Amino acid sequence: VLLFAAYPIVCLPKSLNHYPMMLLPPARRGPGPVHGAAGATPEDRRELGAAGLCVLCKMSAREGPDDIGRRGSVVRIVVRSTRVAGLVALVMLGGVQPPASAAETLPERPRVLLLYTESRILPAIVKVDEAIRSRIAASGLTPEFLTEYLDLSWGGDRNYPEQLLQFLRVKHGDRKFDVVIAAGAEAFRFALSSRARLFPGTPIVFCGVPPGTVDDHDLPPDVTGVWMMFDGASTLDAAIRLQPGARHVVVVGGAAAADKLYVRGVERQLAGRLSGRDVTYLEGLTLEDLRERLSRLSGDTIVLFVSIARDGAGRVFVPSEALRLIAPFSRAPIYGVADTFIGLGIVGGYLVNFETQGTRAADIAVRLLRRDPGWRVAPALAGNVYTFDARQLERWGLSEASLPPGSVVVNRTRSLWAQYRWWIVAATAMIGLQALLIVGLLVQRRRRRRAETILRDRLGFETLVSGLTATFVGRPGGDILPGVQDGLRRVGEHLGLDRATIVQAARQGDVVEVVHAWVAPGVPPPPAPIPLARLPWALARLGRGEIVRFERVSELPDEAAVDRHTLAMLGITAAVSIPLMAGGNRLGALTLTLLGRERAWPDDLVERLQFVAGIFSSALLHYRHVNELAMLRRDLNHVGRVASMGELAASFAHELNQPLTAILSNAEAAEQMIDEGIHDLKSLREIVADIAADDQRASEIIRRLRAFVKKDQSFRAPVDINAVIGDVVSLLQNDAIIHGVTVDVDGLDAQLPPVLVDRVQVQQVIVNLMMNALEAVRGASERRIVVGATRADSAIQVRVTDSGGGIAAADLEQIFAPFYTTKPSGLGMGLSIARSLIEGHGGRLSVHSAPGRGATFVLTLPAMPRDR
Amino acid sequence: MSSGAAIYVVDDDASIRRSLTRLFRLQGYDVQAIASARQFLDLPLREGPTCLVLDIRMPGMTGLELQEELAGRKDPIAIVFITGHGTVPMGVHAMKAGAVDFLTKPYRSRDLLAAVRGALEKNARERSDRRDAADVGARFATLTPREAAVFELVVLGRLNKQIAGALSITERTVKVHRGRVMQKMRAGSVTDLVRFAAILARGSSSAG
Repeated sequence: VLLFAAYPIVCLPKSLNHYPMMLLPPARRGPGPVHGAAGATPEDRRELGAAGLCVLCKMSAREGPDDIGRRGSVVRIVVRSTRVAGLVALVMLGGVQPPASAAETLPERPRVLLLYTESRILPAIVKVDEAIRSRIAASGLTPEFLTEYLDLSWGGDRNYPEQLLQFLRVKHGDRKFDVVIAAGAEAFRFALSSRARLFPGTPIVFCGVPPGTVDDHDLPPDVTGVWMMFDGASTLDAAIRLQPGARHVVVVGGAAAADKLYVRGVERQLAGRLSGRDVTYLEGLTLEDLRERLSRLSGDTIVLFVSIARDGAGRVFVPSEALRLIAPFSRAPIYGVADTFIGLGIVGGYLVNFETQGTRAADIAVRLLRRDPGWRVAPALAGNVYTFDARQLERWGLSEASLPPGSVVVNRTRSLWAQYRWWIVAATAMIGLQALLIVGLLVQRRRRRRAETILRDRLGFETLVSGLTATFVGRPGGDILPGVQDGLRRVGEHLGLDRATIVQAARQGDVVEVVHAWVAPGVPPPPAPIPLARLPWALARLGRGEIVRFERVSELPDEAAVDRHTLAMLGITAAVSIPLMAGGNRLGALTLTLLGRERAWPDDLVERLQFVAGIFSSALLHYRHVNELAMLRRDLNHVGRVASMGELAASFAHELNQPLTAILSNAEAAEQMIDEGIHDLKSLREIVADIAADDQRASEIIRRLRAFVKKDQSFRAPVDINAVIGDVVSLLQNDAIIHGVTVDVDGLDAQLPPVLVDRVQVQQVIVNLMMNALEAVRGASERRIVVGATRADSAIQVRVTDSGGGIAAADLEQIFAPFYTTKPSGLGMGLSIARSLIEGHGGRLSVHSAPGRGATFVLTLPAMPRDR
Repeated sequence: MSSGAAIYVVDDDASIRRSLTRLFRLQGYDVQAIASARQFLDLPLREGPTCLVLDIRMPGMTGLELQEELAGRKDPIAIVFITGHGTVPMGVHAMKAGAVDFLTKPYRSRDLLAAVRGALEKNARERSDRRDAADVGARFATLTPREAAVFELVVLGRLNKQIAGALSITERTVKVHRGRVMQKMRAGSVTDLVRFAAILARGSSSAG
């Protein structure tokens, strides 16, 4: 005991997350976390040191290790090593108490007599005793405690109290007490009745005494204390809150006189509070019977355990021990009246708190010992505490939320699940994820293997496809058709076919014809166009976008009788025909045929062939687009020329006017000569020659005009670019004059090699550039255009430079784009067409300009080798 | 026909020059064809009635620009424009600047010849008027200030008595001055004096 008292004892809860609160007394255990020993006050330390109690569970050091099981939630660690203990104390208390000085005179120690009704092993008494001692010790007083455990309720002989009195008289002799503290109704009664003989004049402080168990109207003035009440009413109220649907109430009590006394008190309290619930009193039964009765209860029952000090068989129990023995058998939640029952099978209730009882009594005693007159207060009831056991609430599925306000919930040590719920959830999730991952990887591996197999199978086909694709990718428009031809050959050879063809319905005539074909060596060429009516069934299916396939002609359905006949005539014995569709265009059908042989077309092959058909479709569509584009470009050139033509009309008119005027004038002169009889034949001949020359000139102008607007295919021939420039300048001379523009032909290299171009197109481009230049210099102070042609390596460069305002840098990027124009009435096609025409000749058209310094367009064309 | 009259053709188109030269020669005119306005400006022109057949659109200096250039010259030249692509504003501009006619190609020969004829007549008239104005001006310059004042009032139709009042001289003195004016101006009648006054007025306004 000394050993235990000397060292601080710390009870470590099983769940270490309560650790930071360990060093704090219950009163300081707030809802929020409190960290470390620094939070402990000197008072706390004294409490620990003097009482040798664990701050958390208040378990006395004097209790044996066998108590551990009963207080299941805690593991006691008793620090036995002095060194470690010191360390622990240092760490936990934040310092070591200095030893008291030896010279200090010890104060007179007051003497306190503690009287307890029962044996000291009763939990209630332990609690009260601990509370009294620790409280008094905490006040700074160091009284001498003398304790008597009277065992009054168990006394068999009625003379026992008297004998006990005699014994105590002998035991204590003349010993004077400063205060007597009596705990329990029997002890209090004994104290009152034996006071005169045992400790006359000594004040009595009581606790743990239910009102009514003594005659409280006649208490002497130096007797006071704390009433204790087993509050069955409030406990029932709390039980109903938890179990609103409960229909029955069962009150459990023992056979001892005290048991009966308490049950009667509870019975009185329950009256009028049952709200129609029936109530049964199970009193004086043997524990066995009680177990049996409790095990037959329905769930909608409230069991109120009051007290069993003795059972029907006369066996004596500590009530909490009796509770522990019966509680597991109950089919309904049990409620109690005292906090000593907590942890033993009750859900809870408005419980007597023995610690409070002891503390209050000790407070009165401390005042008394300090001669504080305030100690003489009237006896008061110490409030009970709504106390509940978390594990029991959980066991019965009762909601903590339904507890009365201010309830204390103990034994929160939660189950593994409750405690580590999130860890468990997280770990489970992790494991689950891992499992999923593993399964996923396995599945993936299997898939990959399968895919590998399929890939191997298809490798040959893929090679074919990639070959096909390569055939078409990057092929200029004109080379597409040979590519189609080559593709058909690849397909035919890969599949061992007789013919691989692309068939189309002809634009004119009701026939279907083979437009592209590959034919195996030794196989006759594809047939001539076949009237649509000869293949009605197959063409109808293809028309709907369906695939036609047959392994042998005989498998064709009856409605394909006509087709069957036609195919037989053509010698086709097996075929597959896949519609070629791209971008909503029907481009015919890829038709693979065998002559005189049968062949199956399995689904996966057809699937792959559809892919091949897709390649052909896009190639054919590309071809169609390229063709359309070429046509469109031709049209656009025409449009551009016609547009220029409109702009040039005045110029043409003027130019044409000159020879016409001269002709008219000459003709009239000749007429006059003839009229006047002037027979100057030489003059007349001159006149006629002039007329013929002017006529020639006029027709040349018209020829140029027609050539300029003619919409025809490109025709390339060696062209002298100087001559073209001369033509253009003369064509535009009038325009230049109209606008007051000087056109200078400058730097024409007479030795320029010819270029192989379409003269009309190049002329059109130069006209375009010149007209732009005319436009550009309009309004400029100096209106001048210089056009020239020079040789640059193996190319010829034509430059058209104007003295206009130049081109803004932003426009410089744009001017070659279609429909881009800076002119209010322009089409925006001129330069776009010009560039595409020149690029079509393998040349380039570029522009250099600085704003305010005019612009120079440079047309570069490849020169023809001189030795050609 | 109008011998002594000269026609100049300025056109950049050789065919036109040839045909016009032929046409005018056939009519007996003295013709000279020139290819550009600049060349024409450098050309020493002959005396006598002169007509310029001028193309409007030419490289370098245009016909209209040439017309402006010629307007400041001492000897007037009558201009007939021929153009392949005439517009109304262009024609109005040319006529306001003193052109005699404005023909668009292709023109009929007789129209052009009529225009040229009219132009030559107008030019001849202008030239003689200009010559008269020079003579009258020289004579007018011989008058004393008093005689000039009397000349002005006589032309305005004032009676001798009124003139005497206006100039604060006697009627008799007015008669003496009047006789001198008639003599110096070589006028046979008051009507001649009024005509001279008109020539003088035209000359002074054209000079100013």
